[in-house]
Amino acid sequence: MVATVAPAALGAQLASPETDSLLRRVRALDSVMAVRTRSVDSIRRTLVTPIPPVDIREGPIHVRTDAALAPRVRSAVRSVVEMIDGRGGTVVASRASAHVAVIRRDSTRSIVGMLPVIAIDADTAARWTMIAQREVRSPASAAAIANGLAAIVEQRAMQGVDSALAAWIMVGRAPLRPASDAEAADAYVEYATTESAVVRRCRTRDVTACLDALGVDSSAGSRLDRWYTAEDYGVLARTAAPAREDSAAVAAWIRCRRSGEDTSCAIAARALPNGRIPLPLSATVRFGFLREVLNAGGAGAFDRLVASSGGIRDRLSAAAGEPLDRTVLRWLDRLESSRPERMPIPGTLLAASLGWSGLILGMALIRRTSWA
Amino acid sequence: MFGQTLYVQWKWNRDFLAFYTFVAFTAPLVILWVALPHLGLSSARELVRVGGVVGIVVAVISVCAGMTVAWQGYGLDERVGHIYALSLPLTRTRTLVMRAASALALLTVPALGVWVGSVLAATQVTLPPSLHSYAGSLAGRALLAAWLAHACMFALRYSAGRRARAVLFALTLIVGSLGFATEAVPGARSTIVGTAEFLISNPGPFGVFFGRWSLIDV
Repeated sequence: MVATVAPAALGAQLASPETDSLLRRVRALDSVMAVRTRSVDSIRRTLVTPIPPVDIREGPIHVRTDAALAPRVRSAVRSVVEMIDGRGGTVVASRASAHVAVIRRDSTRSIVGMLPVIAIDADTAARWTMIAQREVRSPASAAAIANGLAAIVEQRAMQGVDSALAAWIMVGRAPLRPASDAEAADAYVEYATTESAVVRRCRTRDVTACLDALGVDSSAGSRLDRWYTAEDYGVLARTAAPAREDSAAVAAWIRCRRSGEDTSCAIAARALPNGRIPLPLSATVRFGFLREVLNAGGAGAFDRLVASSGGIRDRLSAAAGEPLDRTVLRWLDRLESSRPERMPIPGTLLAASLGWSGLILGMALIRRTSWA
Repeated sequence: MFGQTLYVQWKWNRDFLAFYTFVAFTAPLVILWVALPHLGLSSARELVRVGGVVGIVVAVISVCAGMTVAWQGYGLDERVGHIYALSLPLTRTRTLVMRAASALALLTVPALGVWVGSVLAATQVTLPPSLHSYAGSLAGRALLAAWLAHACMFALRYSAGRRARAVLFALTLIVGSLGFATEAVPGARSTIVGTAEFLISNPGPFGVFFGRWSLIDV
């Protein structure tokens, strides 16, 4: 047995021209495995989970659920319909109405046994879908269920959107829900700490620079020259590496990472192909900007965004219903006003901390009368 | 009498206070000294991260300082049967009030160390316009955390007496069990999580421990 296996095992350790073909084979097997897993999952869902009996329809939303969850699900559906009416439009409504979501009690594995959850499926079909099941810890409030359902509607809204728009948005969902405080704070922190020349210009309210940093508009010149200066190359080297075939650039990149030497960082940065220069602001910040655009456009803004043609800038202008410069300035105002006041000690914290310290000390003083 | 109590507390705790003050003073300087030239962490995002490391170290020092002063004060007294406290012409309550007040006064020393060290450390760094140093806020949080930690340990020691260790062990066990119960008993999860969130957030009792601690932030 060992004699039979050994030559093959030893052969696998050798660097040979077959390495790439082996890698291709592994990838092919991985994809076969993924497809089969989806099939198994579909069969499991068909066998194990019948469609729940209670049918809830309101506006474009159609949901099946069970009797125990029905009151909360009704309330959740109502708030999602309000969201679609206010910020969605006919495209979102039609895409949401094409599927029947299923909300039911389920369970999931935890450290100790199983935990009850409320599972939200994007539709009743047993087949595997691109939109993954969402789970809300049970017992869940109507707001938590609405949040899960709204996330599915946001994903549905992006299905069928042309590739140019989808690639710009990148996150695979439309910003229909309002931003939470944590999301707004995270966006501000990214905006304030990103090391990039174009973002620094954006912080001085240069609208053209902001649009360039958001990937909306591109001015002439290479991305490297537009977005980064020599002082940013060290930071750039931490997020992007030159192609492995360019050994001189890779050696410079290693020196740059190790010692931060300016010349090496410049060689490494200059070796990056234009298409591999990372956008200074992440998809999360772009998502926030798109939310501002949809806010400006009001009802029907998403319809206009999807239906319009031309470049991203034209489409965003059409969605906002105003010149994009104005939207950018409003977005900047909102971003700057969402600066989290994390370090100054709020009065409530001061009072609470002193109060609780006093209370705990007071309890110690009155607790006992003897020293022992 | 308060002056005498303060003097006695100072004698009992001066070694620990000197240690914590020294560590609190040097920690921001040493961390920035290591992080900036040696590790090359100089971008705005990295500065915020390094500031967070300073904050965590200061938080740990503050809590340790507060707990040590309370533990040490009771421990020394207990070893000699509380003779010193009993010999004073004061009621137990008045003695404890003075002891607590003097400990709170002494705990301002490490917080001052944090403030001076942080101010000096912040002057060593060129911050981009979008970042700020928060030496004062950090020292303020350090003082509040030290006082709260002292209050908790003081209450434990003077309420539980000789049983303090057993009570501390029991409390640790209860907290650990509650953590386990969130997974094992799903029905109780929301209550336990809600209570825990209140305890560790502002204006809950331990909000100051679990807030944001950083020397450098946006």
